[in-house]
Amino acid sequence: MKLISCHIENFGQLSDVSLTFRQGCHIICEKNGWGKSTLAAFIRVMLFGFAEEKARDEFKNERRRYRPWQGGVYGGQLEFETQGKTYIISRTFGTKEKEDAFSLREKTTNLESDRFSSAVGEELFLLDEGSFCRTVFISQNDCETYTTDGINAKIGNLAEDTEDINNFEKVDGRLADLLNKMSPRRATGSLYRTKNDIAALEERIRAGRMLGESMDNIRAVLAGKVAEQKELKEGQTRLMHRQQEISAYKDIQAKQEKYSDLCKAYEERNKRMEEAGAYFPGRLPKEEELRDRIAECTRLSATEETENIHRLTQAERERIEKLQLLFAQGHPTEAEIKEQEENIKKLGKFRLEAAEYRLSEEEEDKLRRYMKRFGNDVPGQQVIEETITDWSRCTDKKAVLNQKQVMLEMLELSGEELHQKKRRQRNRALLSVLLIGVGLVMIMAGILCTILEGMWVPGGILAAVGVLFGIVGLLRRRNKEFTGTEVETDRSKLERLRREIEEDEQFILTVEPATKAFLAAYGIECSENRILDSLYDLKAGRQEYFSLLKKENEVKEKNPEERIRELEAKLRDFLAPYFPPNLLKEECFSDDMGELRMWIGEYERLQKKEEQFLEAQKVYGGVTKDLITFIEDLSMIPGGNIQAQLLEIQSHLQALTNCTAEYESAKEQKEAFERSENTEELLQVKPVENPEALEDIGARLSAIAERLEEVQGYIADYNRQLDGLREEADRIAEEEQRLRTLQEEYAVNLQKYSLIQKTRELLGQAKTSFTAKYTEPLRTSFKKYYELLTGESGRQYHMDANHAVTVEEKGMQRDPKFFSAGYRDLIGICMRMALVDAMYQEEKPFVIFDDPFANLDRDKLEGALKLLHSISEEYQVLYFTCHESRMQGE
Amino acid sequence: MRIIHCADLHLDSRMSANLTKEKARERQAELLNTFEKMMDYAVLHRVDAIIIAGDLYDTKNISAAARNTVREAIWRNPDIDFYYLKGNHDAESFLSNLEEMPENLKLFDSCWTAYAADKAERIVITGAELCKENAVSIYNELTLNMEKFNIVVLHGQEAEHAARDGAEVISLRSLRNKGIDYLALGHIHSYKYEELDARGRYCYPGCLEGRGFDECGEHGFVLLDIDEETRKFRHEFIPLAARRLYALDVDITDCMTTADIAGRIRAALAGAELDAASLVKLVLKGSVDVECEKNIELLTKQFQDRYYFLKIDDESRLDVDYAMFALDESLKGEFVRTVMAAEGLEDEEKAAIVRYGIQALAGEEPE
Repeated sequence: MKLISCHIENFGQLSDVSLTFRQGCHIICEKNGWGKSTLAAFIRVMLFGFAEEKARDEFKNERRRYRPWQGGVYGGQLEFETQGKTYIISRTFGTKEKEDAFSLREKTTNLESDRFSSAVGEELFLLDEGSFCRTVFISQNDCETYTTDGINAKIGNLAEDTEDINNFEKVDGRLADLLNKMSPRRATGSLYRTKNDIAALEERIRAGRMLGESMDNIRAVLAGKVAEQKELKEGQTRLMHRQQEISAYKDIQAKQEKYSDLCKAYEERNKRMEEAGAYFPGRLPKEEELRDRIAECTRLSATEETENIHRLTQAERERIEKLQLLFAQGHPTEAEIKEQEENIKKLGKFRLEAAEYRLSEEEEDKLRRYMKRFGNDVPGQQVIEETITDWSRCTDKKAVLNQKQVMLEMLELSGEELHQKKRRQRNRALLSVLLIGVGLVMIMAGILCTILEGMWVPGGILAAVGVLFGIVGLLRRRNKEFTGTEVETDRSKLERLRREIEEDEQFILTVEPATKAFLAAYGIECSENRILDSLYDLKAGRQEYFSLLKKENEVKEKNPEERIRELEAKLRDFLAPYFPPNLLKEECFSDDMGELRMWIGEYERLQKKEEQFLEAQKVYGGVTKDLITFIEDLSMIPGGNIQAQLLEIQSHLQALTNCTAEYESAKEQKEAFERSENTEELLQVKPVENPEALEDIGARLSAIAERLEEVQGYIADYNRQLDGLREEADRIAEEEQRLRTLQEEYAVNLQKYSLIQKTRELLGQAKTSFTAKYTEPLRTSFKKYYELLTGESGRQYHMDANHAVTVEEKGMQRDPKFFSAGYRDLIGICMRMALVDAMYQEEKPFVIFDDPFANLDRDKLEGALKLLHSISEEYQVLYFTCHESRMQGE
Repeated sequence: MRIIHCADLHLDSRMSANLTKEKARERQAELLNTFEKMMDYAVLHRVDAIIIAGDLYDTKNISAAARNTVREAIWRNPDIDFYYLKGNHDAESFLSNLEEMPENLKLFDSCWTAYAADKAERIVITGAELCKENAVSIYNELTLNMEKFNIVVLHGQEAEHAARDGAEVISLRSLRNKGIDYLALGHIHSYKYEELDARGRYCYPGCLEGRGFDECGEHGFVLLDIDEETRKFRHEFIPLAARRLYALDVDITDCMTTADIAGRIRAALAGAELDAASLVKLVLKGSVDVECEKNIELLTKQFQDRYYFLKIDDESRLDVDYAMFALDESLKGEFVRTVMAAEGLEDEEKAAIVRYGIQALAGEEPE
């Protein structure tokens, strides 16, 4: 099989790349990152499709990993030749496998060919993609790994991402360990231990089956005890029934006895009642009636006592007789006495009033003197007051008259001085007029000078002087007028004063004699100094005179003495029948009235006492008679002490009542019994045959109860034992469950153990078969390539059945790992090519060398390049390198 | 008249097949509680009678709690008649331990026993406990009054023919046209209600609570409402179980990793909408590549907290594409070809060996 060309539309970082592959060795020398590995992957994918489609890892999942970096159509074409025919594979890839497109055309006809399916690689080489990769791709890393782990391991290590034959020993060992761990024969094996556990559980469960027998035995005994319990309870029931029967007869016996007792009691109480009734020969008194009579007796004693209390003593008798004489004509009533007492109060009041209104001796004396003074001519109030006023004015005028006369004389002297002063003033007035006239002329002249002549300064001065003259003239004129008025005033004042003096003298001459005459008319003579006082005394005497006259008239109008006399007469008339005239105290009627009232009270009290005595005497007699009649009505003879007799009757009546009640009670009880019981049948009931003593039955019942309790104890005990055994049985049941689980687990694990055993066996077979298939071809091919690569033919190497290679060095087979890295790479490349030779017997594939010679020195590199040339004679080789030094062989 | 028909209660069942010790005890308690709930239902709906058609208990070693629960239920409800027919799991221990037989507890034995269920005696409940001795003869001995509403109680596996030595087999053929209106059966743990003949129906009510993954689906009891006059009845299945069990198949074909499988499981659980109180078994089905990475333990841990209980059974097959290895010139390819050619091995075994071998070659622990 040969690759001819390829065109990459887009694949990873490669885009629109076309390559034509030469036959033999085709070297691609590009720098790192160009996409050499991607190109290798493209070729593989075109033949086999993507690997690791299901991997989630972006790197492992090739469809994702090689998605075009720059977008565009994902895929390309690959042209190859096989068995003389050239084919072109075209593939485009979608996001999923089902979106992929594949076509195969035969180049000569350009027709689609069905020579190969999309699994073209597998059909060509009879190997899957993984195996293909692991053989025809040889990289530096491959060499290193190979040399590190040994040839045998490398041959077997056809799965780079899993352990495979590379780890067969480890896998085999792991399976062996697992089998040991699970072993049913080793003491440490889990199956062995489970088996032991199962055996132990089975043993315990076997013992537990004995437990079932024990439980059955206990249940049997328990059933016996339950039956005994039932029997005992039945016996108990029978005995209790017999006990009830005997008890019932005992009850009847008791009832018979009770009935007999009731009959006896009835008879006896009847007899006692008849005996009690014999005390009463006649009718039976009623209880209330008798109680009333006894109460009357009690009241009779009280009446007798009242009689004794109200009986009058001798002194009282005499006194009442006296009073009866005094009040033979009756005595005044309370109202009359009260009326008279009111009169006494009035009398006292009148007497006080009379004493209050009467004039005293001093007053009467004054009144007589005033009557003598005034007679029938009493001066009027106004007249007196006018007289007083005139006299006062007269006195005043007399006092100022002298002063006025002195003033008149002074005024007459000052009249001459005033006339001279008037003349001087007239002269001064003429001067003033003159000054004013001169002033006016000068002013006029000044003005004229100024206006007519234009002589301003002399005109002005002239006018100013004229003004000055005028002012002086005016001032002097004013002084002349003032002096004239003053003279006029003094003259009128003099005249008026002269008139006043004349009038005052006239008044005095009139009033003085009139006043004196007025006082003399009332018999008052006094000096001039005392006139005013006398006038005032006269005024006061007049007022007192009228006041005394008024009081005297009032006494005359009221007249209390008359009424006093009337009342005294009435009182005397009222008291006269009860008091001898000499004993009546007229000044103090109230004492007499009090004494009369006392007598009346005493008389009435004695009269009442006498009446009560007579009433009590009457009641006592009536009641005694009624009681005697009552006793006689009972057909009994009254005794001396009626009350004692009545009490005795009452006692007997009570006894009879009690006896009757007892009789009634006994009768009621007997009749009630007869109503509740059929006494005829009761008396005919036959006694129980052979009645056991109830005590005996009780003792037998106690024995049964005791045994019952014992049996119930057994039952409880057996039940407890059963419960205990049941718990044990539960435990056994749990162990049975555990046993089942363990047995299931054991069976499953034993099956697993067996299958793992089988797995180990078949894995061993596979390993033997797999390695045996390639051993001899590998050895031959390895020898060829090794000699070609090293140029050494004499060197010994060995390969065992496991494809482990050793190199003989200085008489010893040595592991390649003791050699240099370059040497290890050489051995690895040889081994890999030997493997390719072995695996691709028919269709020879192309081989890709991805710079595997990086570790080789110059000598070894030459050998390696020779090897490459040699290989390329048989295989198409694609050699990728990044350094020109490693492409010398081209 | 209202009658409850229940069977296969299996009280005191250990429930330890899948569960831890603690959860098994919890389920035991739940089983008793479900029985109590059935009694509450009976009281609330004024049920007149309860037929227990066998296997009241799971074992002859009855715990005190289970014994007392049933005994108290019978004593506490004197108005409800309990017709108790023993099944193959029941033992005498429950009855023999009763100090006093309650009047409302009606029992059966190996001969036909008939009880009038109502005062007018229009409904008759007849039953017999099957054993080897009566397995064949019992059918001929059954005579019923055709005028009555006849309920017949039996415990065993339905079959068309009687088995001479199979005490637990009920011959339906032998019971046809005998005048049975309702054949109350017990033994099968899932609900079944079918026609017996022109007149009657037969019914397995199933167990009260599912115990294992062979008892998935709804569980409860059957309520019969019988009109004594017309002899017509209404039949209703009443679901009552505290928890349900589910076995869910998950197809993991083409999954390559544990994460892929977890995705399939997640989708399957989302579609099923199971209650968190459920017990769930996931069964991995389909085929996966022999190199598929599959960790069942990790998957179980991932989902087990979602439910009361969850386990994963791996029933998936391994696919080995032998053609893929035919041209593989490697030890692995040689190994696969060797296994393929090996004789005396089943395909499943070969697949397992290939998987183990490939895992070992990949440096992994075979599992």
